[in-house]
Amino acid sequence: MNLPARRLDPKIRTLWWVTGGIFTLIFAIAGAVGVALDLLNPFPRYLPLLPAAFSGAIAAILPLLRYRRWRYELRDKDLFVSKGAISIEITAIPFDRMQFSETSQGPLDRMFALAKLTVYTAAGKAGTIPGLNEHEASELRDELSRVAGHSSV
Amino acid sequence: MVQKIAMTLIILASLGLFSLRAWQLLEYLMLGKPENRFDNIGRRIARDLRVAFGQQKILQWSFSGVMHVMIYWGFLVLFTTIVEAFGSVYVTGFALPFIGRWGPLGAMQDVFVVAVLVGIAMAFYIRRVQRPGRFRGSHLKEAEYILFAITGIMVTILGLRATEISLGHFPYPRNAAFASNAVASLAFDRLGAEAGRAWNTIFLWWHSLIILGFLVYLGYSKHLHIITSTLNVFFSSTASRSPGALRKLDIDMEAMSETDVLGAAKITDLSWKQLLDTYTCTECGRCQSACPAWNTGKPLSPKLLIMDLRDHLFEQGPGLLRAKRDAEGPPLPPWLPVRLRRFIRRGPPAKLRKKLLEVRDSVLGAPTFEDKPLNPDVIDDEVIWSCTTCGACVSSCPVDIEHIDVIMDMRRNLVMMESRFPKEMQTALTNLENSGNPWGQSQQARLDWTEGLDIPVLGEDGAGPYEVVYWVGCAGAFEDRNKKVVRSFARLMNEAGVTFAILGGKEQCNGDPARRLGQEHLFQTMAQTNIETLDGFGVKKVVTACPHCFNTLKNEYPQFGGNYQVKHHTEFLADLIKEGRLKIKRDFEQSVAYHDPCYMARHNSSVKAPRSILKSAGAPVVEMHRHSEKTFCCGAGGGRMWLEERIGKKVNIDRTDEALALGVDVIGVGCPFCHVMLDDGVKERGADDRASVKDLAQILEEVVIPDGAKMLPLVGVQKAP
Repeated sequence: MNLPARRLDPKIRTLWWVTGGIFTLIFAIAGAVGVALDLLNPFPRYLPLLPAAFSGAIAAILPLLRYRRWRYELRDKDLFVSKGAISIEITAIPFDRMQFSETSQGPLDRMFALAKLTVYTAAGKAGTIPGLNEHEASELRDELSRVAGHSSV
Repeated sequence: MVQKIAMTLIILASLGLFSLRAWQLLEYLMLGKPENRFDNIGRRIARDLRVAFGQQKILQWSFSGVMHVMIYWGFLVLFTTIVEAFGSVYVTGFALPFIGRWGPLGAMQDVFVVAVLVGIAMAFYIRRVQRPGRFRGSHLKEAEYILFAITGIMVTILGLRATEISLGHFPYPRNAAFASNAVASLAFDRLGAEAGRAWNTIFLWWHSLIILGFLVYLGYSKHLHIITSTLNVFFSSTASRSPGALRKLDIDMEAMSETDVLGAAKITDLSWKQLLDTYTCTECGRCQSACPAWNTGKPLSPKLLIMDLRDHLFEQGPGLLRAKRDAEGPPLPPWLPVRLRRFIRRGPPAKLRKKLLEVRDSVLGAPTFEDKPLNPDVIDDEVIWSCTTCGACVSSCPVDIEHIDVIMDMRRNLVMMESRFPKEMQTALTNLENSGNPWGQSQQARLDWTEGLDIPVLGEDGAGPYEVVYWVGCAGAFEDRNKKVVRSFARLMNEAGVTFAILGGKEQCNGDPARRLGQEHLFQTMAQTNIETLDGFGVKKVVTACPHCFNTLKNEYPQFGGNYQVKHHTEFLADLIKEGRLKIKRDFEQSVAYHDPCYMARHNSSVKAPRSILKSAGAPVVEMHRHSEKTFCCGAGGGRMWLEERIGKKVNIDRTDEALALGVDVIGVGCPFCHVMLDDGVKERGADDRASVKDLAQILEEVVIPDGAKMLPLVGVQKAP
């Protein structure tokens, strides 16, 4: 299959792992309370930790799958993006439909020096590319701003 | 795709629910006391092959036995079709690896589908038409739900296979599966492929849903036995002790603390195996119909006893488990760092912890949990005292439930901890303790029966060695009817040239009445005294005319280090005849019905010797309706000899009536207690003019020493120089 050429900054995996880890920790704390108070008696004492275990497994594996699938490329007439861990989604956003693009950074993004690029069409948000390094994100945003509304580069 | 995902989710949900219930049951099981049942693995497996796979015990009853065999073996074979059905959810035309296309398997599956359907018809016939009394108190509805479910599984598997044949993706040659093929030709071949596929889906879904529903329902029903019975048979005690031997109770009076309990006061005092027994009960009622107590109107039904204990466990389980788990805290795996383990174990400060648990209980609701004693709150005392330990329940139970052990544990508790028992029992126990025999006679009187016979007493005349030591037993020594029996037996041994001696005043009661009345402590003292006496004389071979002495000496004394070759007088006499040492001079002309003693026929599987004696004696034998291993108790076992029988028909009368109905001249016995009970029964029925009770030794004496010589003193005992 024809896939976009460029990949995300590898640091995004770590960021995803951290996010997943935070969720897992919340489940684990809730689970630990359940274990300590034996809330599910007479079922297995450690059963309340099951959601945390699930969450942990997903948080560990999902970033690897997502990173493998996340690709993007600026082609002649469109922004070409592919993503999805289980089902795959491939999008092409023609430049002549684009209105503007923005970069944004949450606190975690800033810690990892990463940024998220969002592209808008008349219909609203058309696509998001997470995990670009700050430098590349701003270059891409400026480039898109230049070509937006034109039928080709 | 949607179908596959939906089915996968349903399968996972069912397995999840099933595992949760299984875990819960396992946790309840662990509330029981530890007990080692992992010895003799080889014998345990062999027993499983016979009793579980071979269906040996359920086949003791032929019609319902055959019914069960068809369904049980059916399910073993049809396990393959269940795997095939679930496989075909994911792969059209799924076949088992290696054997999945082999015609004979396809044919076998069809054979057993039909067999199971026939079995179900038989089961309904038993439950709806025959309606045997053994089901009184059982959950009949539950059983019928299960039968309907099995019918559903069979009908849908037949439909599933037939539609697969018509659609052309049946993995076996279609001619092999005769029944499915017939259904296909009749119903599905002429439908189009589309209709065929629709029917196929319907059958597949119904088949799967019933099986999965069945799986979840299992854990909450008496049908749990399909999982636990194989385990229960595996862990049964018969692999490591004779059925006649009771479990040894370790008593260390010095080391006992306030909280220690002898016997079973509460459900948690039972062992895990005894709790597994309660899970396994199928409520079939074979024990109930064989029980002498139930059959004569006593409150004891072994089935209801086990069911009551199970219901009590399930009722108290949540509360008991919560208390236990709150006290113990979460189990910590050893691979956790020591510090972390210590930190977790310390937990929050006690006050906060208590508060937290209170909040939890007020939100979730605390399970009701009463610290109830088993007796009389769950099981009435009268139930416990009704048992004669005859073993009819244990031997008829198809899944090896050990009813007697539970009853004995409760008796032990009532006697040794609560001192609560029928008041007449006190006399017997005091007599045993003070006089060494339940009659309370002087030990000196033990030699009274030998009057006029010259019988050597061990240690008194320095004579010997002797071929065998004759253990006379208290009944033989003190009870008038039985004094005649032991004289007859002594004369027969003399006639055969057997050199023997007795223990005289040094013999004590073997302890069986004490043990079976729950006074284990007294029993152990008596056993040790007797073992010291026997070992002191270097005794190896013992013969006795009492099945209770026989059973205790042979099967229970080894628990205390006393190992002897013990023979019952019926076995001993049968051997003497076989060896030609006893000559039969004439035929015994009166007709005889032999009443097998429980402690020989059932607890020690000895049924041939008495019959061979009667055959040699030329007696016309009429078998009783309940004979050999299925014999019916005389009512005196389990220490009941010493208790009043206040409720219902008397057991001995029931048995006597059965014998008298045969119109025989003589009721043959091989046990002093049976002798007394049946003789009393004959007299009470006013039948002593037409029937008499005789021990086999007495019958044999009449044909071996026919010429009245029996009145002569015994002189032939050979003494070694």
